[in-house]
Amino acid sequence: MKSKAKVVIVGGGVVGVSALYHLAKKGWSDVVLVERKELTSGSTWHAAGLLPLFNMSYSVGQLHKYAVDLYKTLEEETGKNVGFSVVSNIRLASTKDRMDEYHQYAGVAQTIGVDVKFLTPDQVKEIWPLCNTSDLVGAIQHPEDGYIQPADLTQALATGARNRGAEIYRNTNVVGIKQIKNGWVVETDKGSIECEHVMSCSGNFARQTGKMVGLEIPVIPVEHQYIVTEPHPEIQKRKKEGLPEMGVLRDSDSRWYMREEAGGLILGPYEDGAPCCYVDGPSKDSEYELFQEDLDRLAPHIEGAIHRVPAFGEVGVKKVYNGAICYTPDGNPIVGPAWGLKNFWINEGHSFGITAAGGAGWQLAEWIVDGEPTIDMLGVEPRRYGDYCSKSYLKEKNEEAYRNVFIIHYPDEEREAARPLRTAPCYDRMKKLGAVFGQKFGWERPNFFCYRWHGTKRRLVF
Amino acid sequence: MKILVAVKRVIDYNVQIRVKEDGSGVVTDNVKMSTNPPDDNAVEEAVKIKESGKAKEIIAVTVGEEKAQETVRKALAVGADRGILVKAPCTIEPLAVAKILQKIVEKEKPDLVFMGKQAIDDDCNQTGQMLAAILNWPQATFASKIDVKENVLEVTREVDEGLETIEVKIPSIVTCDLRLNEPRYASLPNIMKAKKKPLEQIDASELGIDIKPRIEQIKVEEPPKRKAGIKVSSVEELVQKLKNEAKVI
Repeated sequence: MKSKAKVVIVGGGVVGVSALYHLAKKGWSDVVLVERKELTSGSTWHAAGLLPLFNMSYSVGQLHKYAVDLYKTLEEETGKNVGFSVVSNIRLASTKDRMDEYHQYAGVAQTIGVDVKFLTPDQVKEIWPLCNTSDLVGAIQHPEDGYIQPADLTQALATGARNRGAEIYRNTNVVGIKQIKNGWVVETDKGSIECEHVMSCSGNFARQTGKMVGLEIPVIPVEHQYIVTEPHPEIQKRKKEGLPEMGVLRDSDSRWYMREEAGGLILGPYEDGAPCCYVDGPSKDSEYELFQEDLDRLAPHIEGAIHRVPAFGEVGVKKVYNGAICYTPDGNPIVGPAWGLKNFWINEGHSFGITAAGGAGWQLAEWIVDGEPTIDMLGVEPRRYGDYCSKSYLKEKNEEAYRNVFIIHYPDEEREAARPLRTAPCYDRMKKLGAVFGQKFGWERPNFFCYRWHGTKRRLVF
Repeated sequence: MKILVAVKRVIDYNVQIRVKEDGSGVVTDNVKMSTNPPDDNAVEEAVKIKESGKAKEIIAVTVGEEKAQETVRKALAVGADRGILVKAPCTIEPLAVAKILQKIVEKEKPDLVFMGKQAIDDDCNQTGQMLAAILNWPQATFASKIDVKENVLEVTREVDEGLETIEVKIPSIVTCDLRLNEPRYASLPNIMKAKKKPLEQIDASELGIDIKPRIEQIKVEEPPKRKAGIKVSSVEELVQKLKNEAKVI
């Protein structure tokens, strides 16, 4: 093991390995990654591998777009198949409000150069014959996205990084991170590494890694389940006839994703009541871990899925995966320099980690090597968080972020959970005067004033 | 004909088992649990017999904590008609389970009792045999094929020498091998319907039997860690090493 390096990355999930790859690609070959167990053994291995381009944030949208483009080139570069199935992705709308949201998003997509198409219910039926389209208003399609094999993707990125001189130390535990003059020392159970930069990519261990340097990284994972069925004769028949895969289907109003898997189907709902997990961190031996399934909580979404795709209810359930996905209070990842610490980089809280890993690694490499990112990273900026993110706040907020994955995102949305957290002395007076509050950095701040809120005559005062 | 199937809730076979730091047992908090795999074969066989018209009712029974009823629900989802949960605290040994099952058999009067040949957690492989002894019923263990005939069962067992076919009179106890059949997966509508099937809860203490553990567990430890392997540069070197160091060829 090296005793000196330019950058030490902590954590060997897809996020850390992608950052390592991008630093090496940028020409910094003196970079190393330290992983507690095996690559992918935290959350990457059980991810469903979806690559959703749909995202309301300009920053996150661009990170995702970059990743999808990159992943298509990896096999040619590294010789390793990443199992990228470009099957397209269809998001259904059952209401006009939902369709409006898609139209608004199409503006974001156009701005950042993501290709989208609008589909009528009949066009959906053509692509997805097993889908019941009778009550649909329409759909939006991303022709360029699909899904990937997360472990294969990680291995390909690792190969690309190693080919450029980067090193990966598996089964190596980080026990401490100390700041020294002009840099850092990362202490492991196999020796210390002196370095200029440290990047935290530790996923479910984010808060533990943060604590080593006195940071409260606001990441607590939430349980996410997906159901894998046995093969369905209709899908097998399609395969035999050489028909294309039906693509990733998302029913936003029933809050789930579905795709084909080995002749059967995968259903992943985002339900109410999914609890936070690993609140005080996973056990130190945790590896390839899954939790007990809880189908009761998924019942309304399962019913919705059977209504939409009756075939889903006709075959047996082969396996239910229940594993941890990282979340942050607003559901967006935290990518960038840590507040108050020089050359400490945060790459944490990825709830769409497979998709975001490519772009996050790319921008952090730009930032570390060239001194600034090349896209607007405000949406994922670490400094939107701080010491106000206590554990109890995170538990409420991150669970809210999870259940809100499929809500209709209105412009300037303010979310209700864990509020009020911090109030100014004039809070009560403002409230009496009809203030409608928003939250900034934990503080309640009036967004506008509105009196006779409950009356018939509504008058808004801005 | 009525079939009683005993099922057990165990740590899922895919989970990497972790031993508690104080050596008092294995970690079960926050660990995925599921039905003991050979018990799935037992349920499947009972459902098949019912589907063939030779059985009228299947009762799934389990012994354990409140949560063990998930295992019974799973049996209900694949085709059992009703369930029984015998609530018992913590560790419960095969003899105690056999005594509990005896009480259930006396109450339900089944013609056949099916269960897995052994549980993957304690590997005891005793409950079926003990139950047969207590009830004084014939037993067919390690069944890999079952034929229901007039008042008898023809059971094929996998033994060291090959396949042994025996005949047992009904009523009898059958413990099932993994090769008996391919357990089906329950569909989601059936999983939902299973929640509405009757599940009776009985407290083990009400059965008037002694279920106290007889075995004192001294220590649980992890098996020795596998040492890192080495890379060989050529086939010759590999053959050399297999011959001289590993002494396997």
